[in-house]
Amino acid sequence: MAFNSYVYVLFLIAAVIIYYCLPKKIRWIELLCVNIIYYLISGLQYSLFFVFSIVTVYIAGRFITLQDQKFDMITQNLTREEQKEKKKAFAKYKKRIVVLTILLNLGILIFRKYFLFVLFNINRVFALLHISIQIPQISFALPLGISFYTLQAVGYLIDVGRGQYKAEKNFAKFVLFMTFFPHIIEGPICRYSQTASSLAEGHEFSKENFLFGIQRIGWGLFKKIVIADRLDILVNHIYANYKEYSGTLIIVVAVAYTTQLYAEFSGCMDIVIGSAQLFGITLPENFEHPFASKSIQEYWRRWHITLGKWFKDYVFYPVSLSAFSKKIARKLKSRYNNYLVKLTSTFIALFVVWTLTGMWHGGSFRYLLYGWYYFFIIAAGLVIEPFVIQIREHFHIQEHSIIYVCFQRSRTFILIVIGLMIFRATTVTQFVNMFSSIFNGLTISVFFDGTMLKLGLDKMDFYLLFASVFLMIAVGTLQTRGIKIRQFVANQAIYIRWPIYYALIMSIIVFGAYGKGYTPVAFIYANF
Amino acid sequence: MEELLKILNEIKPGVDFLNETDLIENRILDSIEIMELAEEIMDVFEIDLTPMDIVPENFKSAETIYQMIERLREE
Repeated sequence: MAFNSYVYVLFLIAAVIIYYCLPKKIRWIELLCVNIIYYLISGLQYSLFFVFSIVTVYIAGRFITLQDQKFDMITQNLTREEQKEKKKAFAKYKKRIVVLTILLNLGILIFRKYFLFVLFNINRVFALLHISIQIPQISFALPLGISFYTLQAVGYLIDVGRGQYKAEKNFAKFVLFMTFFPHIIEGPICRYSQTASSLAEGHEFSKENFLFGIQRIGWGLFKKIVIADRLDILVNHIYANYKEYSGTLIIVVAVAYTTQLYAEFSGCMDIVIGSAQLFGITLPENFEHPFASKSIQEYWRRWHITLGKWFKDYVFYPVSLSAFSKKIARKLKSRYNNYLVKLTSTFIALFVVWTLTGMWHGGSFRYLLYGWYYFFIIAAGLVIEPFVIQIREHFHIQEHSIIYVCFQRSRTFILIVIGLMIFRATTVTQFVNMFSSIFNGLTISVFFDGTMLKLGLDKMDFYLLFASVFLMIAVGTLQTRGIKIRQFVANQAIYIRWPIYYALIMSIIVFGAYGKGYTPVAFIYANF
Repeated sequence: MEELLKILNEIKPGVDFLNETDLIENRILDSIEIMELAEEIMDVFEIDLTPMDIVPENFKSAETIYQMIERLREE
């Protein structure tokens, strides 16, 4: 049930009406039922995988909390030394449970994502070695939202294992936390401490939440249907016939895809967060004006924020502080003493994080390359940082001067666009071919000789794109300056406010780029 | 505390670490700088940090970082 379909809108309206008609105490039960119905309608055949994850993580969580309680009871009358001993033994036991449950859950994710990839590559190796055996390819789709709910479940279990909070006792409330329907398909990846209590609590109807929720959904639909789906036509056209294009047009399609992905993914998050707001529930933000970033590290703190935070907390820090990293760092430090050696653990952790980030996106070498591309840029940035500072000081360049900030932002944007070229390509070879063809035929004449009108879009489409992308950038810029647009619109007089609402609704209906028979275009991240 | 402030100033010069009350929320330290800091703390104060110690509450300010070091030294 895609967010940009009429079925979703009707489903959401029905769910919200019933939610507020019921007594406050049992509203969470309605939400739970709605979640289950949503998942069953959207992906009935894969429900078993989801049920498995929910049940195993719930049991493991409860088991760990019971162990903590047991520890508290038996260590009451022990000396400090004895308590330390017991603590170690309990920690080891709990770690085993956490690791085993995580392996089981990640195992499903890895198997479902990599099974076909491995089979395909085994067959390729056989073909290269002239071995006539070919393993038949079994095709199956990924369980709905598996990449997102698995990370959410693993995060919950690690937090419980670390003692950050007690495991949820009520199984139904745990299911509610895991299955909240707006964010099941594309995130944001929520922490138990962020959403669980809000989901389980019955919220009062709030006019502000309701209005702001609808506004946000409308804005998300605008970004998705008017901008992203229109750019989708151009992007698909060039990528499908990429050998026919080079030079400026490759740059055009790379920038178009960057804009498309941002409009689509952030638009989807607007719909998700807006949908949750209708129930009075606040979900974490996943985007914070990523193209205003001055470095790639900053970009990843602003783009797909919840994924970045997940990897930071559950992979980056643990790997940096692991016995393995510490051992290597110590060995190197005993021999050399320089700036780079101090960063050994960081480099190891960054490599693991970016390999896993690439792999998380799917079974393909291009996703691995996508991850390693960012590892290389961030690692190279750290290596050259002292030299950059020296150069800046030598030429008396102020770090916060407008020219230097513009340079940093432009450089970061170019690096992001190249990264997304890897991401969008169907194979690594396609990326290499497209990237190398940029330098062949760089000309501005394509903008004036009618070439742009042969890419699937007409003049009106381009005018609409310029206007709507300008609007998106303007809204983003105002938000970075602390102006709350939704609040601003809501504060206007009715004869200003309502024309704005109508304009937004009409622009989605009239200017939306629909497929044949007004079929919605699928969301890119829904495939992950 | 002086030693900690020296480390902090080496990692991020130009910040008033004595008066800064939220190094994480205010985005003064990013994850890579926190790891640099953790490495230095482990070396200088001869303590062992685990991922469980790398939580925002422990890295809010120079004061909370110092409290964490003291706690780990006692343990």
